[in-house]
Amino acid sequence: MNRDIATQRSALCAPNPGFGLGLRTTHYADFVREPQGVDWLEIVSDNYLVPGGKPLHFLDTFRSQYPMVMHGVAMSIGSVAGPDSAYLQRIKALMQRVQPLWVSDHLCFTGAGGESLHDLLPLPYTTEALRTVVQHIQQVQDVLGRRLVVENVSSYLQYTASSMDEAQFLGAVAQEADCLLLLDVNNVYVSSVNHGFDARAFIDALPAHRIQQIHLAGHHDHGTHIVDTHDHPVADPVWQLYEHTLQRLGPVASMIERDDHIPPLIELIDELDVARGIAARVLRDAHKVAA
Amino acid sequence: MSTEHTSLAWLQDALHQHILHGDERVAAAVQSHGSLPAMDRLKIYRDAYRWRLLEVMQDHFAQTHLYLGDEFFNSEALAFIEAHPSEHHSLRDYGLAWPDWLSGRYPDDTDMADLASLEWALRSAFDAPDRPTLGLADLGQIPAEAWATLGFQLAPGATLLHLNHAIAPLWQSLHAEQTPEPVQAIPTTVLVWRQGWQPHFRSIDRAEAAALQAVMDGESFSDACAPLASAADGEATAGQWLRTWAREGLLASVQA
Repeated sequence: MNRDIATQRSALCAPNPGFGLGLRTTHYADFVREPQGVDWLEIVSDNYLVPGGKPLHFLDTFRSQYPMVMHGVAMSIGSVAGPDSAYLQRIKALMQRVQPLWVSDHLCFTGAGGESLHDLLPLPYTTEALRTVVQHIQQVQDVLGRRLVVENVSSYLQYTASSMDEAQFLGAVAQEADCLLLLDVNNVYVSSVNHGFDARAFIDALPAHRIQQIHLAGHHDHGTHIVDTHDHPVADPVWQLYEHTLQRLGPVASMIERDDHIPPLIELIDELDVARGIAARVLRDAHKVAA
Repeated sequence: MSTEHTSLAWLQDALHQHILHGDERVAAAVQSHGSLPAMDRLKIYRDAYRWRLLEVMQDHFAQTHLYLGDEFFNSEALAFIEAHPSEHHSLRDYGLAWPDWLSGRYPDDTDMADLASLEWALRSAFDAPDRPTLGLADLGQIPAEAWATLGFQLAPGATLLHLNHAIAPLWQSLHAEQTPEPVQAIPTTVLVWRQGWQPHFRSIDRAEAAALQAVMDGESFSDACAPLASAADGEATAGQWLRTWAREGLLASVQA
Protein backbone atom coordinates (compact mmCIF):
# COMPACT_ATOMS: atom_id res chain seq x y z
CA MET A 1 0.00 0.00 0.00
CA ASN A 2 1.30 3.40 -0.92
CA ARG A 3 0.71 6.24 1.55
CA ASP A 4 1.05 8.77 -1.27
CA ILE A 5 -1.94 7.18 -2.99
CA ALA A 6 -4.04 7.58 0.16
CA THR A 7 -3.02 11.23 0.46
CA GLN A 8 -3.73 11.96 -3.19
CA ARG A 9 -7.06 10.14 -2.99
CA SER A 10 -8.17 12.14 0.03
CA ALA A 11 -7.62 15.31 -2.02
CA LEU A 12 -9.96 14.15 -4.80
CA CYS A 13 -12.39 11.61 -3.35
CA ALA A 14 -15.07 11.72 -0.66
CA PRO A 15 -14.00 10.07 2.62
CA ASN A 16 -14.34 6.27 2.74
CA PRO A 17 -17.68 5.41 4.41
CA GLY A 18 -16.81 1.70 4.84
CA PHE A 19 -18.77 -1.30 3.59
CA GLY A 20 -22.12 -1.07 1.84
CA LEU A 21 -24.78 -2.96 -0.04
CA GLY A 22 -27.01 -2.24 -3.00
CA LEU A 23 -30.48 -1.43 -1.66
CA ARG A 24 -33.06 -3.88 -3.08
CA THR A 25 -36.84 -3.91 -2.54
CA THR A 26 -36.73 -7.49 -1.20
CA HIS A 27 -34.78 -6.20 1.81
CA TYR A 28 -36.95 -3.16 2.59
CA ALA A 29 -38.74 -4.98 5.42
CA ASP A 30 -35.40 -5.84 7.08
CA PHE A 31 -34.25 -2.22 6.98
CA VAL A 32 -37.61 -1.02 8.31
CA ARG A 33 -37.55 -3.55 11.17
CA GLU A 34 -34.16 -2.73 12.67
CA PRO A 35 -30.76 -1.19 11.91
CA GLN A 36 -28.63 -3.49 9.75
CA GLY A 37 -24.89 -4.16 9.65
CA VAL A 38 -24.08 -2.01 6.65
CA ASP A 39 -22.28 1.33 6.74
CA TRP A 40 -23.98 2.78 3.68
CA LEU A 41 -26.39 1.95 0.86
CA GLU A 42 -26.12 2.30 -2.89
CA ILE A 43 -29.35 2.96 -4.78
CA VAL A 44 -29.91 2.39 -8.47
CA SER A 45 -30.83 5.98 -9.31
CA ASP A 46 -33.09 5.00 -12.20
CA ASN A 47 -35.42 3.05 -9.89
CA TYR A 48 -36.24 6.28 -8.07
CA LEU A 49 -36.80 8.55 -11.07
CA VAL A 50 -40.53 8.17 -10.44
CA PRO A 51 -43.18 10.76 -9.66
CA GLY A 52 -44.04 9.48 -6.16
CA GLY A 53 -45.49 6.61 -4.15
CA LYS A 54 -43.81 3.89 -2.13
CA PRO A 55 -40.38 3.95 -3.83
CA LEU A 56 -39.69 7.57 -2.84
CA HIS A 57 -41.27 7.10 0.60
CA PHE A 58 -38.87 4.25 1.40
CA LEU A 59 -35.97 6.08 -0.21
CA ASP A 60 -36.48 9.02 2.16
CA THR A 61 -36.90 6.68 5.14
CA PHE A 62 -33.68 4.76 4.49
CA ARG A 63 -31.77 7.91 3.59
CA SER A 64 -32.56 9.30 7.03
CA GLN A 65 -30.85 6.21 8.51
CA TYR A 66 -27.90 5.49 6.19
CA PRO A 67 -25.43 7.41 4.04
CA MET A 68 -26.24 6.76 0.38
CA VAL A 69 -24.55 6.79 -2.99
CA MET A 70 -26.40 7.05 -6.30
CA HIS A 71 -25.58 4.59 -9.08
CA GLY A 72 -27.20 5.04 -12.50
CA VAL A 73 -27.46 2.79 -15.53
CA ALA A 74 -28.82 5.05 -18.25
CA MET A 75 -26.56 8.09 -18.57
CA SER A 76 -24.90 6.61 -21.68
CA ILE A 77 -21.85 8.87 -21.43
CA GLY A 78 -20.19 6.93 -24.25
CA SER A 79 -22.91 7.37 -26.84
CA VAL A 80 -22.18 9.66 -29.77
CA ALA A 81 -25.34 11.63 -28.99
CA GLY A 82 -24.26 12.12 -25.38
CA PRO A 83 -26.35 12.13 -22.22
CA ASP A 84 -29.94 13.32 -22.56
CA SER A 85 -30.26 16.71 -20.87
CA ALA A 86 -33.75 16.01 -19.49
CA TYR A 87 -32.44 12.78 -17.97
CA LEU A 88 -29.53 14.66 -16.38
CA GLN A 89 -31.93 17.15 -14.86
CA ARG A 90 -33.92 14.29 -13.30
CA ILE A 91 -30.71 12.80 -11.90
CA LYS A 92 -29.81 16.21 -10.53
CA ALA A 93 -33.23 16.57 -8.86
CA LEU A 94 -32.84 13.13 -7.27
CA MET A 95 -29.32 14.08 -6.18
CA GLN A 96 -30.69 17.16 -4.47
CA ARG A 97 -33.29 15.02 -2.69
CA VAL A 98 -30.89 12.23 -1.63
CA GLN A 99 -27.75 14.32 -0.95
CA PRO A 100 -25.59 11.28 -1.84
CA LEU A 101 -21.93 10.86 -0.97
CA TRP A 102 -21.32 10.61 -4.73
CA VAL A 103 -23.02 9.87 -8.05
CA SER A 104 -21.88 7.16 -10.45
CA ASP A 105 -22.69 5.65 -13.84
CA HIS A 106 -20.96 3.43 -16.39
CA LEU A 107 -18.30 3.86 -19.06
CA CYS A 108 -20.44 2.56 -21.91
CA PHE A 109 -23.23 3.42 -24.30
CA THR A 110 -26.77 2.10 -23.98
CA GLY A 111 -28.11 2.46 -27.52
CA ALA A 112 -28.23 4.60 -30.64
CA GLY A 113 -30.70 6.72 -32.56
CA GLY A 114 -32.96 7.49 -29.61
CA GLU A 115 -33.60 3.83 -28.77
CA SER A 116 -32.31 2.20 -25.60
CA LEU A 117 -31.11 -1.38 -25.42
CA HIS A 118 -31.00 -1.13 -21.60
CA ASP A 119 -27.55 -2.67 -21.61
CA LEU A 120 -24.05 -1.44 -20.77
CA LEU A 121 -22.47 -1.76 -24.20
CA PRO A 122 -18.68 -1.59 -24.53
CA LEU A 123 -16.87 1.24 -26.27
CA PRO A 124 -13.95 0.98 -28.68
CA TYR A 125 -10.79 2.21 -26.97
CA THR A 126 -9.91 4.84 -29.56
CA THR A 127 -8.86 8.47 -29.33
CA GLU A 128 -12.21 9.46 -30.85
CA ALA A 129 -14.13 7.55 -28.16
CA LEU A 130 -11.86 9.03 -25.48
CA ARG A 131 -12.52 12.57 -26.73
CA THR A 132 -16.28 11.90 -26.86
CA VAL A 133 -16.48 10.38 -23.40
CA VAL A 134 -14.36 13.09 -21.78
CA GLN A 135 -16.55 15.80 -23.31
CA HIS A 136 -19.73 14.06 -22.09
CA ILE A 137 -18.41 13.52 -18.56
CA GLN A 138 -17.46 17.19 -18.37
CA GLN A 139 -20.98 18.07 -19.51
CA VAL A 140 -22.44 15.83 -16.76
CA GLN A 141 -20.11 17.30 -14.16
CA ASP A 142 -21.12 20.81 -15.17
CA VAL A 143 -24.81 19.95 -14.69
CA LEU A 144 -24.38 18.04 -11.43
CA GLY A 145 -21.77 20.42 -10.03
CA ARG A 146 -19.57 17.59 -8.83
CA ARG A 147 -17.16 14.94 -10.11
CA LEU A 148 -18.87 11.95 -11.69
CA VAL A 149 -17.77 8.48 -10.56
CA VAL A 150 -17.37 6.25 -13.62
CA GLU A 151 -17.52 2.45 -13.54
CA ASN A 152 -15.72 -0.05 -15.78
CA VAL A 153 -18.25 -2.46 -17.33
CA SER A 154 -17.91 -6.19 -17.95
CA SER A 155 -17.71 -7.01 -21.64
CA TYR A 156 -17.98 -9.90 -24.03
CA LEU A 157 -16.48 -8.27 -27.10
CA GLN A 158 -13.67 -5.93 -28.07
CA TYR A 159 -13.38 -3.93 -31.27
CA THR A 160 -10.62 -4.31 -33.82
CA ALA A 161 -10.54 -0.50 -33.99
CA SER A 162 -9.21 -0.15 -30.41
CA SER A 163 -5.80 1.47 -30.24
CA MET A 164 -5.29 1.13 -26.47
CA ASP A 165 -6.33 -1.38 -23.83
CA GLU A 166 -9.24 -0.88 -21.46
CA ALA A 167 -7.14 0.08 -18.44
CA GLN A 168 -5.27 2.72 -20.46
CA PHE A 169 -8.58 4.04 -21.77
CA LEU A 170 -10.18 4.13 -18.32
CA GLY A 171 -7.16 5.87 -16.85
CA ALA A 172 -7.06 8.44 -19.65
CA VAL A 173 -10.79 9.14 -19.24
CA ALA A 174 -10.35 9.71 -15.51
CA GLN A 175 -7.36 12.02 -15.93
CA GLU A 176 -8.66 14.04 -18.85
CA ALA A 177 -12.24 14.42 -17.59
CA ASP A 178 -11.01 14.91 -14.01
CA CYS A 179 -13.59 12.38 -12.83
CA LEU A 180 -13.42 9.55 -10.30
CA LEU A 181 -13.63 5.80 -10.78
CA LEU A 182 -15.85 3.04 -9.51
CA LEU A 183 -13.70 -0.05 -9.89
CA ASP A 184 -15.87 -3.13 -10.36
CA VAL A 185 -13.45 -5.90 -9.46
CA ASN A 186 -15.83 -8.60 -10.69
CA ASN A 187 -16.12 -6.84 -14.05
CA VAL A 188 -12.34 -6.72 -14.35
CA TYR A 189 -12.18 -10.46 -13.65
CA VAL A 190 -15.05 -11.28 -16.06
CA SER A 191 -13.53 -9.22 -18.87
CA SER A 192 -10.02 -10.56 -18.19
CA VAL A 193 -11.27 -14.11 -18.76
CA ASN A 194 -13.40 -13.15 -21.76
CA HIS A 195 -10.58 -11.23 -23.44
CA GLY A 196 -7.51 -13.00 -22.04
CA PHE A 197 -5.77 -10.14 -20.21
CA ASP A 198 -4.04 -10.00 -16.82
CA ALA A 199 -6.56 -8.73 -14.28
CA ARG A 200 -3.91 -7.69 -11.74
CA ALA A 201 -1.97 -5.73 -14.34
CA PHE A 202 -5.25 -4.01 -15.29
CA ILE A 203 -5.80 -2.88 -11.71
CA ASP A 204 -2.17 -1.84 -11.28
CA ALA A 205 -2.46 0.37 -14.39
CA LEU A 206 -5.37 2.48 -13.07
CA PRO A 207 -4.91 5.91 -11.49
CA ALA A 208 -5.29 4.64 -7.91
CA HIS A 209 -5.88 8.07 -6.39
CA ARG A 210 -9.08 8.49 -8.44
CA ILE A 211 -10.77 5.27 -7.26
CA GLN A 212 -13.70 6.29 -5.08
CA GLN A 213 -15.51 2.99 -4.77
CA ILE A 214 -15.27 -0.75 -5.40
CA HIS A 215 -18.05 -3.08 -6.59
CA LEU A 216 -18.05 -6.79 -5.85
CA ALA A 217 -20.51 -9.24 -7.40
CA GLY A 218 -21.04 -12.79 -8.57
CA HIS A 219 -20.95 -14.14 -12.11
CA HIS A 220 -21.82 -17.23 -14.11
CA ASP A 221 -19.04 -19.25 -15.72
CA HIS A 222 -20.07 -20.76 -19.07
CA GLY A 223 -16.72 -22.42 -19.68
CA THR A 224 -15.92 -20.54 -22.90
CA HIS A 225 -16.76 -17.21 -21.28
CA ILE A 226 -18.09 -15.64 -18.09
CA VAL A 227 -21.29 -13.62 -17.86
CA ASP A 228 -21.67 -10.87 -15.25
CA THR A 229 -25.00 -12.00 -13.79
CA HIS A 230 -24.98 -10.65 -10.21
CA ASP A 231 -26.93 -13.78 -9.23
CA HIS A 232 -24.26 -15.70 -7.31
CA PRO A 233 -22.05 -15.03 -4.31
CA VAL A 234 -18.71 -13.36 -5.08
CA ALA A 235 -16.38 -16.01 -6.57
CA ASP A 236 -13.01 -16.92 -5.04
CA PRO A 237 -10.88 -15.47 -7.88
CA VAL A 238 -12.73 -12.17 -7.43
CA TRP A 239 -12.01 -12.16 -3.69
CA GLN A 240 -8.35 -12.75 -4.50
CA LEU A 241 -8.40 -9.89 -6.98
CA TYR A 242 -10.12 -7.71 -4.37
CA GLU A 243 -7.29 -8.47 -1.92
CA HIS A 244 -4.74 -7.52 -4.56
CA THR A 245 -6.69 -4.33 -5.24
CA LEU A 246 -6.69 -3.29 -1.59
CA GLN A 247 -3.00 -4.10 -1.28
CA ARG A 248 -2.41 -1.47 -3.94
CA LEU A 249 -5.09 1.06 -2.97
CA GLY A 250 -5.48 0.78 0.78
CA PRO A 251 -9.00 1.06 2.24
CA VAL A 252 -11.66 1.97 -0.35
CA ALA A 253 -15.46 2.07 0.03
CA SER A 254 -16.56 -1.41 -1.02
CA MET A 255 -19.95 -3.00 -1.60
CA ILE A 256 -21.67 -6.08 -2.97
CA GLU A 257 -24.17 -5.89 -5.82
CA ARG A 258 -26.80 -8.61 -6.02
CA ASP A 259 -29.57 -8.26 -8.61
CA ASP A 260 -30.97 -11.77 -9.13
CA HIS A 261 -31.57 -14.79 -6.89
CA ILE A 262 -31.34 -12.26 -4.08
CA PRO A 263 -30.75 -14.09 -0.78
CA PRO A 264 -31.93 -13.00 2.69
CA LEU A 265 -30.20 -9.80 3.78
CA ILE A 266 -28.28 -11.59 6.53
CA GLU A 267 -26.49 -13.71 3.90
CA LEU A 268 -25.34 -10.60 2.04
CA ILE A 269 -24.19 -9.03 5.29
CA ASP A 270 -22.22 -12.23 6.03
CA GLU A 271 -20.69 -11.93 2.54
CA LEU A 272 -19.87 -8.29 3.25
CA ASP A 273 -18.05 -9.49 6.37
CA VAL A 274 -15.73 -11.46 4.06
CA ALA A 275 -14.83 -8.16 2.39
CA ARG A 276 -14.34 -6.57 5.83
CA GLY A 277 -12.08 -9.47 6.82
CA ILE A 278 -9.93 -9.13 3.70
CA ALA A 279 -9.63 -5.37 4.17
CA ALA A 280 -8.63 -5.82 7.84
CA ARG A 281 -6.01 -8.43 6.89
CA VAL A 282 -4.54 -6.24 4.15
CA LEU A 283 -4.35 -3.28 6.52
CA ARG A 284 -2.72 -5.42 9.24
CA ASP A 285 -0.14 -6.78 6.80
CA ALA A 286 0.61 -3.28 5.55
CA HIS A 287 1.22 -2.09 9.10
CA LYS A 288 3.56 -5.03 9.73
CA VAL A 289 5.57 -4.14 6.66
CA ALA A 290 5.67 -0.48 7.68
CA ALA A 291 6.81 -1.41 11.21
CA MET B 1 -11.59 -1.63 -43.06
CA SER B 2 -12.39 1.98 -43.97
CA THR B 3 -12.18 4.79 -41.45
CA GLU B 4 -15.94 5.06 -41.58
CA HIS B 5 -16.16 1.51 -40.23
CA THR B 6 -14.02 2.35 -37.21
CA SER B 7 -15.78 5.56 -36.29
CA LEU B 8 -17.63 5.64 -32.98
CA ALA B 9 -20.93 6.52 -34.63
CA TRP B 10 -20.64 3.66 -37.13
CA LEU B 11 -19.69 1.09 -34.49
CA GLN B 12 -22.48 2.13 -32.15
CA ASP B 13 -25.11 2.09 -34.86
CA ALA B 14 -23.84 -1.23 -36.24
CA LEU B 15 -23.89 -2.94 -32.81
CA HIS B 16 -27.31 -1.44 -32.10
CA GLN B 17 -28.67 -2.73 -35.41
CA HIS B 18 -27.12 -6.12 -34.80
CA ILE B 19 -28.72 -6.49 -31.38
CA LEU B 20 -32.12 -5.33 -32.60
CA HIS B 21 -32.28 -6.74 -36.10
CA GLY B 22 -29.36 -9.17 -36.54
CA ASP B 23 -27.55 -6.86 -39.00
CA GLU B 24 -24.14 -8.56 -39.40
CA ARG B 25 -22.03 -5.57 -40.52
CA VAL B 26 -20.55 -5.16 -37.04
CA ALA B 27 -19.07 -8.69 -36.94
CA ALA B 28 -16.03 -7.64 -38.96
CA ALA B 29 -15.29 -4.94 -36.40
CA VAL B 30 -15.29 -7.36 -33.45
CA GLN B 31 -12.22 -9.30 -32.33
CA SER B 32 -12.40 -13.08 -32.11
CA HIS B 33 -10.42 -14.35 -29.14
CA GLY B 34 -9.80 -17.81 -27.69
CA SER B 35 -12.63 -20.26 -28.15
CA LEU B 36 -15.27 -17.60 -28.72
CA PRO B 37 -15.71 -16.29 -32.29
CA ALA B 38 -17.05 -12.78 -32.91
CA MET B 39 -20.56 -13.94 -33.79
CA ASP B 40 -20.84 -15.88 -30.51
CA ARG B 41 -19.70 -12.80 -28.61
CA LEU B 42 -22.34 -10.71 -30.35
CA LYS B 43 -24.99 -13.34 -29.59
CA ILE B 44 -24.44 -12.78 -25.85
CA TYR B 45 -25.63 -9.18 -26.27
CA ARG B 46 -28.42 -10.10 -28.68
CA ASP B 47 -29.84 -12.73 -26.33
CA ALA B 48 -29.35 -10.62 -23.20
CA TYR B 49 -31.41 -7.80 -24.75
CA ARG B 50 -34.40 -10.10 -25.32
CA TRP B 51 -34.17 -11.85 -21.96
CA ARG B 52 -33.93 -8.53 -20.15
CA LEU B 53 -37.05 -7.13 -21.78
CA LEU B 54 -38.88 -10.45 -21.41
CA GLU B 55 -38.16 -10.40 -17.66
CA VAL B 56 -39.47 -6.85 -17.51
CA MET B 57 -42.67 -7.89 -19.32
CA GLN B 58 -43.10 -10.84 -16.94
CA ASP B 59 -42.71 -8.49 -14.01
CA HIS B 60 -44.93 -5.68 -15.33
CA PHE B 61 -47.65 -8.10 -16.42
CA ALA B 62 -47.32 -10.82 -13.79
CA GLN B 63 -51.05 -11.71 -13.76
CA THR B 64 -51.26 -11.78 -17.56
CA HIS B 65 -48.21 -14.05 -17.51
CA LEU B 66 -49.97 -16.39 -15.06
CA TYR B 67 -53.18 -16.29 -17.08
CA LEU B 68 -51.56 -17.04 -20.45
CA GLY B 69 -48.94 -19.49 -19.19
CA ASP B 70 -45.20 -19.41 -19.84
CA GLU B 71 -45.17 -20.62 -23.41
CA PHE B 72 -47.87 -18.38 -24.89
CA PHE B 73 -46.96 -15.31 -22.85
CA ASN B 74 -43.25 -15.56 -23.66
CA SER B 75 -43.88 -16.09 -27.35
CA GLU B 76 -46.23 -13.10 -27.53
CA ALA B 77 -43.97 -10.94 -25.37
CA LEU B 78 -40.94 -11.73 -27.54
CA ALA B 79 -42.94 -10.84 -30.66
CA PHE B 80 -43.91 -7.56 -28.96
CA ILE B 81 -40.27 -6.90 -28.04
CA GLU B 82 -39.18 -7.40 -31.68
CA ALA B 83 -41.78 -4.88 -32.80
CA HIS B 84 -41.18 -2.34 -30.00
CA PRO B 85 -37.61 -1.18 -29.41
CA SER B 86 -37.48 0.79 -26.17
CA GLU B 87 -37.40 4.57 -26.44
CA HIS B 88 -37.36 5.02 -22.67
CA HIS B 89 -34.46 5.63 -20.33
CA SER B 90 -36.06 3.44 -17.72
CA LEU B 91 -37.35 -0.09 -18.05
CA ARG B 92 -40.19 1.03 -15.79
CA ASP B 93 -41.87 2.56 -18.83
CA TYR B 94 -41.52 -0.48 -21.10
CA GLY B 95 -44.78 -2.23 -22.06
CA LEU B 96 -47.24 0.67 -22.33
CA ALA B 97 -48.29 -0.51 -25.81
CA TRP B 98 -48.67 -4.19 -24.81
CA PRO B 99 -52.44 -4.16 -24.08
CA ASP B 100 -53.22 -2.57 -27.47
CA TRP B 101 -50.80 -4.96 -29.16
CA LEU B 102 -52.64 -7.94 -27.63
CA SER B 103 -56.09 -6.66 -28.59
CA GLY B 104 -54.83 -5.98 -32.13
CA ARG B 105 -53.54 -9.51 -32.50
CA TYR B 106 -56.44 -11.21 -30.78
CA PRO B 107 -59.53 -9.06 -31.41
CA ASP B 108 -61.82 -11.96 -30.44
CA ASP B 109 -60.01 -12.61 -27.14
CA THR B 110 -59.66 -9.19 -25.59
CA ASP B 111 -59.75 -10.64 -22.06
CA MET B 112 -55.92 -10.79 -22.33
CA ALA B 113 -55.69 -7.10 -23.25
CA ASP B 114 -58.22 -6.19 -20.53
CA LEU B 115 -56.13 -7.91 -17.86
CA ALA B 116 -52.94 -6.29 -19.19
CA SER B 117 -54.60 -2.85 -19.18
CA LEU B 118 -55.59 -3.30 -15.55
CA GLU B 119 -52.05 -4.32 -14.61
CA TRP B 120 -50.55 -1.30 -16.36
CA ALA B 121 -52.99 1.08 -14.66
CA LEU B 122 -52.18 -0.43 -11.25
CA ARG B 123 -48.44 -0.02 -11.92
CA SER B 124 -48.98 3.59 -13.01
CA ALA B 125 -50.97 4.34 -9.84
CA PHE B 126 -48.26 2.71 -7.69
CA ASP B 127 -45.70 5.46 -8.26
CA ALA B 128 -47.97 8.30 -9.35
CA PRO B 129 -47.22 11.71 -7.78
CA ASP B 130 -47.98 12.15 -4.08
CA ARG B 131 -50.81 14.55 -3.25
CA PRO B 132 -52.69 15.11 0.02
CA THR B 133 -56.32 14.00 -0.33
CA LEU B 134 -59.57 15.37 1.04
CA GLY B 135 -61.30 13.43 3.81
CA LEU B 136 -64.92 13.60 4.93
CA ALA B 137 -64.03 16.28 7.48
CA ASP B 138 -62.55 18.46 4.71
CA LEU B 139 -65.74 18.14 2.69
CA GLY B 140 -67.72 19.19 5.79
CA GLN B 141 -65.83 22.49 5.84
CA ILE B 142 -67.01 23.49 2.36
CA PRO B 143 -69.66 26.26 2.57
CA ALA B 144 -73.10 25.14 1.33
CA GLU B 145 -73.26 27.87 -1.33
CA ALA B 146 -70.01 26.67 -2.93
CA TRP B 147 -71.42 23.28 -3.96
CA ALA B 148 -73.31 24.66 -6.96
CA THR B 149 -70.08 25.32 -8.87
CA LEU B 150 -67.17 23.50 -7.24
CA GLY B 151 -65.34 20.60 -8.80
CA PHE B 152 -62.53 18.31 -7.71
CA GLN B 153 -59.11 17.31 -8.93
CA LEU B 154 -58.70 13.58 -8.55
CA ALA B 155 -55.64 12.01 -6.99
CA PRO B 156 -52.82 11.39 -9.52
CA GLY B 157 -52.95 7.89 -10.99
CA ALA B 158 -56.75 7.61 -10.72
CA THR B 159 -58.12 6.30 -13.98
CA LEU B 160 -61.21 4.65 -15.47
CA LEU B 161 -60.71 1.61 -17.68
CA HIS B 162 -63.45 0.59 -20.07
CA LEU B 163 -63.01 -3.15 -20.55
CA ASN B 164 -64.85 -5.79 -22.54
CA HIS B 165 -64.83 -8.38 -19.77
CA ALA B 166 -65.52 -8.78 -16.07
CA ILE B 167 -61.84 -8.74 -15.20
CA ALA B 168 -61.98 -8.17 -11.44
CA PRO B 169 -62.84 -11.82 -10.54
CA LEU B 170 -60.10 -13.03 -12.89
CA TRP B 171 -57.51 -10.75 -11.30
CA GLN B 172 -58.56 -11.80 -7.79
CA SER B 173 -58.31 -15.53 -8.66
CA LEU B 174 -54.89 -15.13 -10.24
CA HIS B 175 -53.70 -13.01 -7.32
CA ALA B 176 -54.83 -15.73 -4.89
CA GLU B 177 -53.10 -18.34 -7.09
CA GLN B 178 -56.43 -20.09 -7.74
CA THR B 179 -57.62 -21.47 -11.07
CA PRO B 180 -59.87 -18.75 -12.48
CA GLU B 181 -63.44 -19.32 -13.68
CA PRO B 182 -64.00 -18.61 -17.40
CA VAL B 183 -64.07 -14.85 -17.94
CA GLN B 184 -67.47 -13.37 -18.76
CA ALA B 185 -67.71 -11.08 -21.77
CA ILE B 186 -69.54 -8.28 -19.95
CA PRO B 187 -68.49 -4.67 -20.72
CA THR B 188 -67.17 -3.32 -17.43
CA THR B 189 -65.71 -0.09 -16.18
CA VAL B 190 -62.99 -0.40 -13.57
CA LEU B 191 -61.71 2.44 -11.40
CA VAL B 192 -57.99 2.27 -10.53
CA TRP B 193 -56.39 4.52 -7.93
CA ARG B 194 -53.88 4.54 -5.10
CA GLN B 195 -54.85 4.86 -1.45
CA GLY B 196 -51.87 5.54 0.77
CA TRP B 197 -49.08 3.52 -0.82
CA GLN B 198 -51.35 0.77 -2.13
CA PRO B 199 -52.93 0.68 -5.61
CA HIS B 200 -56.59 -0.41 -5.64
CA PHE B 201 -59.29 -1.13 -8.19
CA ARG B 202 -63.01 -1.77 -8.18
CA SER B 203 -65.73 -2.26 -10.74
CA ILE B 204 -67.87 0.82 -11.00
CA ASP B 205 -71.41 1.14 -12.39
CA ARG B 206 -72.16 3.18 -15.47
CA ALA B 207 -73.74 6.15 -13.70
CA GLU B 208 -70.93 6.58 -11.15
CA ALA B 209 -68.31 6.11 -13.87
CA ALA B 210 -69.94 8.83 -15.99
CA ALA B 211 -70.02 11.23 -13.03
CA LEU B 212 -66.42 10.51 -12.12
CA GLN B 213 -65.33 10.96 -15.73
CA ALA B 214 -67.15 14.31 -15.82
CA VAL B 215 -65.30 15.38 -12.65
CA MET B 216 -61.99 14.28 -14.24
CA ASP B 217 -62.90 16.35 -17.32
CA GLY B 218 -63.24 19.45 -15.13
CA GLU B 219 -67.01 19.67 -14.73
CA SER B 220 -68.41 20.81 -11.42
CA PHE B 221 -69.62 18.09 -9.07
CA SER B 222 -73.14 19.46 -9.44
CA ASP B 223 -73.02 19.21 -13.26
CA ALA B 224 -71.40 15.78 -13.06
CA CYS B 225 -74.37 14.58 -11.01
CA ALA B 226 -76.99 16.28 -13.23
CA PRO B 227 -78.11 12.96 -14.78
CA LEU B 228 -79.32 11.96 -11.30
CA ALA B 229 -81.73 14.90 -11.10
CA SER B 230 -84.73 12.93 -12.32
CA ALA B 231 -84.09 10.00 -9.98
CA ALA B 232 -86.06 9.87 -6.72
CA ASP B 233 -82.94 9.16 -4.69
CA GLY B 234 -80.62 11.24 -6.87
CA GLU B 235 -79.35 13.51 -4.12
CA ALA B 236 -78.71 10.59 -1.78
CA THR B 237 -76.79 8.76 -4.52
CA ALA B 238 -74.64 11.83 -5.24
CA GLY B 239 -73.89 12.17 -1.54
CA GLN B 240 -73.03 8.49 -1.31
CA TRP B 241 -70.60 8.75 -4.26
CA LEU B 242 -68.88 11.75 -2.74
CA ARG B 243 -68.43 10.07 0.65
CA THR B 244 -67.08 6.94 -1.03
CA TRP B 245 -64.62 8.96 -3.13
CA ALA B 246 -63.40 10.81 -0.06
CA ARG B 247 -63.00 7.59 1.95
CA GLU B 248 -61.09 6.01 -0.92
CA GLY B 249 -58.66 8.92 -1.16
CA LEU B 250 -59.74 9.83 -4.68
CA LEU B 251 -60.24 13.56 -4.14
CA ALA B 252 -57.02 15.54 -4.20
CA SER B 253 -58.31 19.08 -4.07
CA VAL B 254 -61.29 21.36 -4.58
CA GLN B 255 -61.51 23.28 -7.83
CA ALA B 256 -63.55 26.40 -7.36
